[in-house]
Amino acid sequence: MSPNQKMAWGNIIVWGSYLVVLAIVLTANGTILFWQEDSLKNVFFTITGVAFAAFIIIMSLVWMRASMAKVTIDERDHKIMNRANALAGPIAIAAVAVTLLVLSLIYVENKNSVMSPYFLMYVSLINLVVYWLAQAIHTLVAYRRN
Amino acid sequence: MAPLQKRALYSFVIGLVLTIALIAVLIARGDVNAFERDPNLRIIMYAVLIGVPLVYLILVNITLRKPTQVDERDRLIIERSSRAQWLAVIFSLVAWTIALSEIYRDQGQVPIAFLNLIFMSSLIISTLAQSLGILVGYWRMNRNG
Repeated sequence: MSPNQKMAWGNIIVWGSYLVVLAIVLTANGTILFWQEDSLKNVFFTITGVAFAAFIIIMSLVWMRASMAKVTIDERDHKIMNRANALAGPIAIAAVAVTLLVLSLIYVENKNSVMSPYFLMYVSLINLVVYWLAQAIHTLVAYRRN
Repeated sequence: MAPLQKRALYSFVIGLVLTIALIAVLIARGDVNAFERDPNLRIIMYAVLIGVPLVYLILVNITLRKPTQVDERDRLIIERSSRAQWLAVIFSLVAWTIALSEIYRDQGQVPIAFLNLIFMSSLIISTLAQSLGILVGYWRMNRNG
């Protein structure tokens, strides 16, 4: 398995688990407005912090082990990663656009002219998570095809 | 100058001019809620929103369809530039989040007109960053061989 594939699996495990855990926590509390309760706010930031820490640790371990084992990355690996990045970008931007559209519709329907600044955090997180997941899935599919 | 490089440069310059014009109009109006009130401002914003990606689409995608105009190196540069595109979008989103959270910290509420602005800025920045990424890609390749 190449370092890119390992990274892709790491991304899917970390960010897939992050989404599942977040969905469970928010559903159990009956709201996505995590900032309204201090305990839920702490849980949200803890889950997000753990996910980012796990992501950084997994990536560092993969690259450290690859450089220690002197694994070479060839032209094919570069090509797959470039294509995965090229594909993931538009998907992430589309996810951001949909999120902003949904938020606008919800708030226009409610006739509110203001929203919580915490919602903006969701928008940034959606861009990051969707990008990494799309990139990882495309990488794994591309290696399988090759 | 390669055909793709030339077109990316035109696209970047035109996009930048349109963006600067939009920022100037927004600053002149002085209030983000003017977006909701002023139909002229909305038309200007929609024109820039459609204009910047359209210029890129026409210059880089549609007029470069002949296989002889784009080689393997150009395709590689386009693919690599998408990384710059995503990074630019994510940094702009983080900047929006931090700036709005800080500016509206006391009120605890952000006007929803900003959602439109964030959406538009993401699309415009994404297109500009793609053109810039292509230009940087050529510059790097010429420099490093």
